[in-house]
Amino acid sequence: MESPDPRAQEDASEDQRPNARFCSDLSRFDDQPALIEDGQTITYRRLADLQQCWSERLGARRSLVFLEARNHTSAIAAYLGCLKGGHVVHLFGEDERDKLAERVELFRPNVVLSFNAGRLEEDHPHRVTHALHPQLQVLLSTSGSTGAPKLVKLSDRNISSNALSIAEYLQLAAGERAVTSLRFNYSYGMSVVNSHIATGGTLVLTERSAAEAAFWTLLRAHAGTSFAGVPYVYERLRLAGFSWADAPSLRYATQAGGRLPPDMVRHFADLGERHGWRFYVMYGQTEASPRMAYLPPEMAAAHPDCIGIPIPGGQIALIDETGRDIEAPDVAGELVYRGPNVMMGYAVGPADLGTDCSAGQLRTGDVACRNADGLFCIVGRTARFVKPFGIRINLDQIEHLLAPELPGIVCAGDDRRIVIALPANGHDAPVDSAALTTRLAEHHGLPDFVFEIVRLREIPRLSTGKVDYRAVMEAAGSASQRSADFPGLMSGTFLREIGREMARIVGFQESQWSGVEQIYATLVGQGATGASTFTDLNGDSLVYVETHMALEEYLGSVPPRWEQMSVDELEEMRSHAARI
Amino acid sequence: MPHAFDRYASGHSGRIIETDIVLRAIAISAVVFNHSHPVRPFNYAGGMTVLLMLAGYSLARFALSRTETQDLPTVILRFATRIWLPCLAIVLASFAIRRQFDLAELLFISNWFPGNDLAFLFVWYPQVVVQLLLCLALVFSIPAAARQFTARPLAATLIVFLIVFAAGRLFSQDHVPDALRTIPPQRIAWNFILGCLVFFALASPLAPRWNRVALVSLTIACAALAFGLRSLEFWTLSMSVVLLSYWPRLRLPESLARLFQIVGQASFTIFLLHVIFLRIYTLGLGLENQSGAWLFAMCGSLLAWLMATATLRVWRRLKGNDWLRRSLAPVLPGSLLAHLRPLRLGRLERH
Repeated sequence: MESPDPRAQEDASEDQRPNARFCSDLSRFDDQPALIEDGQTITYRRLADLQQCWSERLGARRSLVFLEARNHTSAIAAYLGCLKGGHVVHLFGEDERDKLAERVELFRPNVVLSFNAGRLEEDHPHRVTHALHPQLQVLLSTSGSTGAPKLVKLSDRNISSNALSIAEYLQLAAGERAVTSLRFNYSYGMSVVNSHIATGGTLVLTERSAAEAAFWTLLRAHAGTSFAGVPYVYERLRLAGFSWADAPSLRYATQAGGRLPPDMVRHFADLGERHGWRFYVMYGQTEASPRMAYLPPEMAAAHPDCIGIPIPGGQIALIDETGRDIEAPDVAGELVYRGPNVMMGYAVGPADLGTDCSAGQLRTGDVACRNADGLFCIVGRTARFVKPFGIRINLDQIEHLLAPELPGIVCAGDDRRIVIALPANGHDAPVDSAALTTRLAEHHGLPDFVFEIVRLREIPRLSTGKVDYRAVMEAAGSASQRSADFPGLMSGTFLREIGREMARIVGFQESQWSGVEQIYATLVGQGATGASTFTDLNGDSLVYVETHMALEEYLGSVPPRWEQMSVDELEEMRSHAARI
Repeated sequence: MPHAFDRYASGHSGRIIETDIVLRAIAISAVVFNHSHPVRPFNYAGGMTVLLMLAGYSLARFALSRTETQDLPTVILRFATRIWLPCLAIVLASFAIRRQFDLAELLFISNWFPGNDLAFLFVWYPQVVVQLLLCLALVFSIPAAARQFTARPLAATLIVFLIVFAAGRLFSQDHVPDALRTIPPQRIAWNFILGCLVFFALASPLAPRWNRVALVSLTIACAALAFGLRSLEFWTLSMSVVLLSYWPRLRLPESLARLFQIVGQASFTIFLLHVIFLRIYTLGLGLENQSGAWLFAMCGSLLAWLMATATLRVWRRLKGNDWLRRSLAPVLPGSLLAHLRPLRLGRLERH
């Protein structure tokens, strides 16, 4: 399925320096308000000046710039200045500061712009000249590269075409006012900034979360016309009984960053209809700059489980295992996206900054089908991708990573655990499982307990000779069960474990809960399923405080009425929080 | 416009804690304080009153708010068993230590008779709660009653509350000498049902502001009638309901919140064991300082709870669980749990 590309005339220029088209001439919007921060309005004319200042300040030589993306005027102006000056800008978040040193060491940026006491400060750590691809403009980290310095490369064409596509299907115009509910190092947040700047809209800048009343006060005060949220935020707003009537200026709301359950889509579509705003369910990945599809609001109530249709200029195809296109409706296949917004590839080091590995298409790893109405619905993921805690992990990549040191290693997994299976006959030397687990956990930014190292006598295989990953998971289950034999009640291990647990209860040690199911099993004493709630499991007042505390440790905060929320709902909250 | 969501939004120092946890912790500390101060200028009562109200509140929150009415009697009976089993263990242990026996106490009905109990436990409280739970289970086993209740929980609870409050006043023993007083459930059932009423009134989406005002007014009026304006019980109960109504979650300094949570979690164990620790302090160690006795009983009970809870958690994590061990867990040291293994009724689970 393909939509006409209104931006065909805007193909990548042959110029050796990109200049993001969507923001190349900000002054054309004259005295329209561009940014509002702390009650101060920055017009487009003024923003164009600031952009020019930043562009010049960063120098005539094309540089690699690392910019801390906060919702402040200076950060937005610096970002636009980088784009105008043709510099390559990597947007990083406040929460990535701990990984910054490693990233700076690896990529050797010329300039690092980061906040110190509320001011954007400039640092010039490396004077090297990078071989930067002529079209490269933005580098973003993906959810899958939280722990590893792997960045998505986006060109001028990628971000500009996506901004204009979004503006087209959301019908954005100069009167729009978006209050920043997302950080703009997050691709969804960046797309809000880009699409509004592209159309002369206004950004009301705040670092407040949509979970705070102050955010909505700001939205009302500045007559915000749109709201962008991830599923977690929508779920919490619904749980908190947020009154949408208090946002009368709202024209539309968008949702992306994960799957919102169909009943919630219906709920918000219905709310929108009642309060006079449109609700857009959107689908994307950072690798697509990020938007790929959207569900037209009028179809949300009837097809709440769908991601909708491709954005203008994009094309979605489904392919089978042999790579052939699937044309028939309701047949599942891997979703492949083609469009001008598909990334230039990944950068794992400075050498990658000079290349364009884009094949013009993106294999998303999501399995989808097309229904009779031509709408796409996600039905799963290709087996070799898993998403523990919402972080996308390629199991093949782990195998490749470890294969040189651990020949014959096999990696299987699901969204809860990743099993590293070592063939017993393949390794004479002992393997330090704890060290390996820690290494993998740090590399992928996941907790240790997600990784399970097991030694199998033989790696199970299918008759075709391929590894039987399902059998690997099952074998790992029984192997770890054997290794976890009960240590004996008066044994040192058991007593030490009790001591540790006591320290965890009083807060001297951090608790290591692996999931809501485990919390319920340990504290309520009942095996839970995804649909179970605390009350379903006969949780009562004798254990609820303990359970509340454990959930608080695991989830960060516990919503009101948590006892009536299912395990899946609570887990979904956590994974969205991790993604944000 | 403040949203409920704000109250647990990040960005502030401290920790958000549910008010009923704070109240539970303060109430149990007050109970132990009262019991550790036999020589006192006036009665520090009030803790038990709040605990009884919170027991009703929790029952409504975790059991009565279910929509499947056919489950209600089972759920209530299961909860009653969880209270009864550890109490029974202490009663039996007390008989063994004292080499005495009391059938009424064994049958959990000694609250109907005047006189002192043998158990190292203020056993009237669990007796009243268990008896009330049995009555509720009986009522909910009538399908029509369960349906009526589920259809209009607030109205039904209000009617029940008014009836039991009138019954309470009818069976008032204000003018009976202390030695002859009994504590049958009808005398204080209103205190327990008040907790249910608090939950349903605050959970009701209709007219929340008026619900709160009406609830607080009703509590103040009933508490004044039952206890008198000058009693500590009146003030503690009224203030507790005000807090629950207007500040359902509190932001407290991290360490204070953690302390409340731990004491709140351990409140049932503290209730079960504090008398034993008070006896150890006065009879075993021969000490007399009353504040020291309070501290000793609180810390001793907390430590016992901590050890038992940690043991149970480790046990469950490593092996499995069943309902019998679960019921006895609050009072048994972990090593004893192993001997119950042949009795296990639940299925083996691995976590």
